[in-house]
Amino acid sequence: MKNKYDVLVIGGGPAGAIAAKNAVEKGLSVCIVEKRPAIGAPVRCAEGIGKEALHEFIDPDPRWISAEMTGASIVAPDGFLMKLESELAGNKVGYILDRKIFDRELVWKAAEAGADVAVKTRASAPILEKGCVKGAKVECCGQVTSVTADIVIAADGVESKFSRWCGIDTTVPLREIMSSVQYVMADIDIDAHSTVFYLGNEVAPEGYLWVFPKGRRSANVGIGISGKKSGEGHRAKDYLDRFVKKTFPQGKQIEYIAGGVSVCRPLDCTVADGLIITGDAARVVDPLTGGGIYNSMYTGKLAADVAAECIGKGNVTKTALMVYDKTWRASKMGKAIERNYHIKEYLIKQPDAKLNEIIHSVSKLNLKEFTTLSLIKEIMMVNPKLMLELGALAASIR
Amino acid sequence: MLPCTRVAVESTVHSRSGEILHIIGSRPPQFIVNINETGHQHYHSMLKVHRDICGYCGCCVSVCPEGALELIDAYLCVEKSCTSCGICAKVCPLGALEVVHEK
Repeated sequence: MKNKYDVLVIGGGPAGAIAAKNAVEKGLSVCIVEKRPAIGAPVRCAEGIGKEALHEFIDPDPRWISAEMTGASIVAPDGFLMKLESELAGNKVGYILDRKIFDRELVWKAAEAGADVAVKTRASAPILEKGCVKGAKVECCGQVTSVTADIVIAADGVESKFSRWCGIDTTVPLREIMSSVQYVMADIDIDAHSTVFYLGNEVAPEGYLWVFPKGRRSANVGIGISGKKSGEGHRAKDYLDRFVKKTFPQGKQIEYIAGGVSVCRPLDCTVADGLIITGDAARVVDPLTGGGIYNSMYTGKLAADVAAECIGKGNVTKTALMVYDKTWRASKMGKAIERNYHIKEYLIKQPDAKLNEIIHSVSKLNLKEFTTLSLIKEIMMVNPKLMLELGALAASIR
Repeated sequence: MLPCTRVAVESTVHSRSGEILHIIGSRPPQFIVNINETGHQHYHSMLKVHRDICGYCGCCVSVCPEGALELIDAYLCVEKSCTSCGICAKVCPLGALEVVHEK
């Protein structure tokens, strides 16, 4: 690691890795610092991503694809199962990744492109000069060094601290953190090509429980519940254990990971002088699905593009970097976050009976496009009443 | 008594015996420390991390209003700015955090 770079990337997840690779390809000198000793672990993620979304960034590789999905199911609070299939039967609609390998692959690609990588190295404080971020103090095995950079890209995930140290309030409201636990389970009976989502106040209050296949008889089984609903005796782990005991009594847990997923609105502003905030650190997770892989890669790439342009022009002020903030907000991703935030806010207020009613209205859907939006559109088609309830939001969906 | 994790003393009052009492914390419940033989309860609060339960996931870090928590690889650090508000203890998916009131 040198002591000066054009861009310093904090965090070696998908946002950081994609940002680093793209920045290097634009001719910048880049270093990624990752506080953990290994890239990719622990995997705090259900690991699902849509086919189109993945293809936008990288061609799928069997080394890090755990399973290919052809459909999905939603289980209503009363146990009723709604099947979602692609209009073309058997068509691949998404992937369950092996994030340990996937994240490594992304960092390898960044390293191969020319980025420096430092693991077990933590950014412990920003270097600030007249309020402008000029790099970071980094710590490795007790040694503190100063690394200066024209731009710092904060990609430090849900437990992000860097932007907070720079004066940006990143606190996630209690009711908008999904308190999560997941197991990788082996030797269980599942549909190996379909993801399953369980809804309901008894199963996962204000969240959902997922079973995402990772092989013929293995799956990532996890849950996210609202922080507001979490407490002694009714934590995410309590709900998940109850489900697992009932549904997969013979299953074996081969991995046990906790986590948090923000489902709040993104940060009010995702740039500052010399700083760009990406991925989970910018709170750009999809508030409805909790999915963040694509959004991280998208903001990571955009951050690199904007960094290259601004460094090229010799202007890294907040005003110059605002292009990043404005571009992602106006993008398909930004609009989806805003729309899905409202849908989430509507759904979490519905009692189980209402959710049952909505899910019962369609027992089987063949979707032209396998996206959350097309699912919501289809549901609204058969529930005209819902359109009235959603009011102005319905118009934005149509 | 364990060292107090709070830094902000909100107000002080005098006990019947003339001793100065420090009332700390900006959120209810408030705790009174450093009092003796006055009939008051001697509470002192701090955040305890049950390290055997902690999954070092960082969920708590994201909700801390004071920015007092930091996850350093597999170790959760609690900084002095912690006000023992208990939000992190509520949100923890595993139940690894506890606000303890020491008498």
